[in-house]
Amino acid sequence: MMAPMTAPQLPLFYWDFFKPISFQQTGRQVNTQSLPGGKISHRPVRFFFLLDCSGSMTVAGKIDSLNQAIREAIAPMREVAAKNPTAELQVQVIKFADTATWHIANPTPIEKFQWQSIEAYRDQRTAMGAAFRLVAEQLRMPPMPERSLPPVLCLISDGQPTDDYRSGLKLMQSTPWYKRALRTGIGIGSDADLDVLREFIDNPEIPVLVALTSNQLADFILWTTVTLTQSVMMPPTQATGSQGGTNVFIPKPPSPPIVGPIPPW
Amino acid sequence: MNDRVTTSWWIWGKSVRGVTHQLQNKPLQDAWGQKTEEGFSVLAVADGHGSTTAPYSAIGARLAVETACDVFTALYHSLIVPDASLYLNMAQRYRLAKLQIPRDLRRRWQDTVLQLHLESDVTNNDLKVSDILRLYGTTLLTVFVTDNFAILSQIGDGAILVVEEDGTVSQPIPRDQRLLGVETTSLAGKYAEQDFKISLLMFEPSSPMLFLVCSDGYVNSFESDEDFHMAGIDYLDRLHKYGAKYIQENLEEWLTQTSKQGSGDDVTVAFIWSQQQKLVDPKITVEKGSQENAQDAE
Repeated sequence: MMAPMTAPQLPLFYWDFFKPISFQQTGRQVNTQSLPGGKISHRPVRFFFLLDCSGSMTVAGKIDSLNQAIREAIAPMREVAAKNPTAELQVQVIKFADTATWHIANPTPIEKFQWQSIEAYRDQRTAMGAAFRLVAEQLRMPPMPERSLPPVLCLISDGQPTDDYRSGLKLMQSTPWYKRALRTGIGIGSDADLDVLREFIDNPEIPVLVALTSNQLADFILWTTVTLTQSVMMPPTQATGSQGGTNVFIPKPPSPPIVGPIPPW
Repeated sequence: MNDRVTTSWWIWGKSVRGVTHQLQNKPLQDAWGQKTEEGFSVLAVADGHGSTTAPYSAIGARLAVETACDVFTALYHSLIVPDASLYLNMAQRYRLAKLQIPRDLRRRWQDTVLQLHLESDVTNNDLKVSDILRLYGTTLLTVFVTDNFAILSQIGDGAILVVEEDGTVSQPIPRDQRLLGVETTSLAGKYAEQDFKISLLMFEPSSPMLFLVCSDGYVNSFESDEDFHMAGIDYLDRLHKYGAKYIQENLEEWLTQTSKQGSGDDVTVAFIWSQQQKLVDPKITVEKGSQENAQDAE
């Protein structure tokens, strides 16, 4: 009869069939009075405004209506955040004309968010692609935390891009969060380039919204900032990976605009 | 019978309902379970998806942990000869881990779900098989541990930590980089077998260590992976200082607070803590997977 083999005395090691061990840590002081683990916080939801400040926005009070609509959306956004106490809504704002710059660069919690009016720049163009490139930087990890909830991108424009917007869009599409982001496009007035907005949204469930009055603009901004954001802040888990699937439930958008006899835009 | 050194495992866990589930009037959709026999223990955690397309995911999660206990028990008895578990060669271990476990877990769970659904919900009988499975969609994380090796498996989000006595923490199955936001792979998926991640861990029989298995509601409550991994060190330290009973008494409150201050999601954390023990006359113990039937090896 064969003698039983002795068990191999192996040092601790892993056979990982996929990737190396992700993390190792030793020698930490333990605080037994607190909750186990390090820093705990709510999952962030980043909301990005991409705002057109080109010369045409100076016409017919468009920029004033935009400032007013965003200012009025803050209180409802705070209410939504208060009703969803386990997600932290943070706002960032990009403005674009001849170039794109940050109006609010740091992710600002909605509770601390104050709207400082933006200006439209007479005779300046629409560098939308540059704005896309700025957003693309933020959709990488880092700076976007892995545990974030899907971000919301809201593009508002009254015209058509004057730079190479496709390269900016392509850069944005190459980021890990682009596909998970909810993107909305609001056109101001009948000159807005709806094809570009549709290309930016890239989701048949979300229509391009065209505002022909300041009230419509306010309604559409409210839908994006409140109704859609609410959906992002309390999402159920969605099966994806090999079987595909959507990410977040899309609420019904506002009714199609009722065009009055003399639409101002 | 000759004296021999074997390992005993303390196993405990808890699932708590998250704040968002309370606000949305949703039930707890996480589950955990365990089974121990002489020679091995298996611990399983599952997180039902909870989306509108998976209304029965709480049931799916429960079935998943029961399935895991059954599958690993069957595997142990069929492939690992009792008292010879130490001698399973590398090729057999590899095959077991890489091929058989994902296949058996997926098949057994899907068969159980279909049977249950067809028996209980005749109104939906004209649904396609894939649609029925999706109603019960869930993740599944398991740790199967013997005296000298462990097999970790995971489909979907959540995490498994290994904490050694010197405080070294590792996550042998890293986060699936394909999954962001609220996405997960699923036991209900058509290609579930390919979505399983497996890790084989070998150690000396006398190596005590802590396995921590948790749902994504726990992982996502921490600001970073480093903050999450610190939890592993803290639990092991508290086990050493205050004993298993202290963890059992406080775990529910810790998880409730973590969910409230963190992700708001359902949270499950379960442990296997190995302790070297010298047995003269080993006795077989069988424990059915249940939150209430945890082994107390203090």
